Amino acid sequence: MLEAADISAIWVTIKLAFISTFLLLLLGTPLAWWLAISRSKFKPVVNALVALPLVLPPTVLGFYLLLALSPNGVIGRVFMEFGGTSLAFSFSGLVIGSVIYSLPFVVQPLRDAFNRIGIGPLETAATLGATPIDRFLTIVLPLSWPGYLTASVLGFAHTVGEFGVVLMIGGNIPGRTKVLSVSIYEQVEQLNYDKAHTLSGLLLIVSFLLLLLVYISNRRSRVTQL
Amino acid sequence: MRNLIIILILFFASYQVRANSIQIAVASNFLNTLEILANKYKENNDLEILISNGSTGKLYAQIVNGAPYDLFFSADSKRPKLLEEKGHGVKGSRFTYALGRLALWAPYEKELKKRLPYFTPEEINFIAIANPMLAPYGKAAMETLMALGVWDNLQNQLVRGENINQTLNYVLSGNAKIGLVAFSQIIKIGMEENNSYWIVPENMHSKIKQQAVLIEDKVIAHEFMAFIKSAIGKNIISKNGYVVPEH
Repeated sequence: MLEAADISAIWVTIKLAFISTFLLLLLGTPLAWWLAISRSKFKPVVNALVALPLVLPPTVLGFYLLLALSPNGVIGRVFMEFGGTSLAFSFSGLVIGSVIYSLPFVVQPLRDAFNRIGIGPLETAATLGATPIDRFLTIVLPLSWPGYLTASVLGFAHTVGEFGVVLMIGGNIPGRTKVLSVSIYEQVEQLNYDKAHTLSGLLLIVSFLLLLLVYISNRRSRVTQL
Repeated sequence: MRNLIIILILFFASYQVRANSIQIAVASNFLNTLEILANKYKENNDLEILISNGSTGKLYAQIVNGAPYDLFFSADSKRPKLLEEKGHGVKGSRFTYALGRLALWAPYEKELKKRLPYFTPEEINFIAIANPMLAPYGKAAMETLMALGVWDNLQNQLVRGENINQTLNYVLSGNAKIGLVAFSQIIKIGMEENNSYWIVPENMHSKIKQQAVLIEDKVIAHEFMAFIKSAIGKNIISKNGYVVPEH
């Protein structure tokens, strides 16, 4: 039922989703924390920027990325300076695209989780002599794990479902930039509806299970909080 | 409530399509030429021409599922044939309106463009083609690279655009140094003066037969089709980078 080409597309998709989610959690944590506690007048601006990928068509993002990643573009030139090769049509380019594209899906749940903790417990801990790292590891992380779970699953699932951006900057290279959504598209275009059904069904079930995981765990965590 | 219903009815009624209007679905590579043709036709005919463009495969799927097009200009001959056979197209209306011409294009490479079609894999980063599985121009590109004897050596540098327009974008944006695009596109963006292309001889790839088929048996659609086949129509098509077949 699944051929080597499909398995390779699934593998690229999963690898892309894992790496992007990992980077997003790494970059998203300080950003979400700042958004939760800051009183800066720039906060609305940053919030709006983070939310942009929710409303922008992927083609806009793909278009800007195609220009920015090119050897004459802003990001592409910097990357080449440091001895890198071309970013467009590469897996690294897709990771950059995915991190931008899935940013709100990771940052927003984290920000909301941090908001719920509030500054109170942290100030108490600080007066008892806890260092910032202590406070983060012993207070913030244990109290915001449902937020982290939601952020991880949404970031992962949204990257798996990415299509427009990949189509524009990926170049459809098997084993490197050809992801599942693109190969489904290719099957539909070729009128291979059977193969398209198999792959689409697979994606549908996996996406549903991932979302179910978020909702079940969110309910549990609310029950324990009560 | 009643007022609301009346408003809604009036609203939708105003959206009714004019009686003397035709809707055309066109493969992306021919969009620009079709617009020129439509504008020329409208000089002498009071007709509204609505044009939707997309990839041949997508438009085909839309038509099979009942999309309200009167005419379909495909980038291949396979889809119009299927439509005719399945009863979605008017029997006997299918004809080849243009033969696509492929060009090897390296717009920004001063040294390379003088030597076309000769280049080595080392001097390029990527070569952009349309996806051979999806686009007739992609299949022709693959055959051309095979005929030039470089297909095997370029495997790791091939990037595939979903359609020929995306392929053009890959080269135009500077991401791929070279690509096989439609000659009509180079004319459209006004870069034929630049002399940075090599037109692939027609014997290097199988013919890119672009066929059109009538979807609705309407008189005004028939008339527009006749215009495409007329001397004026053919002239516009060949000026825009296509070969017009003898009928």
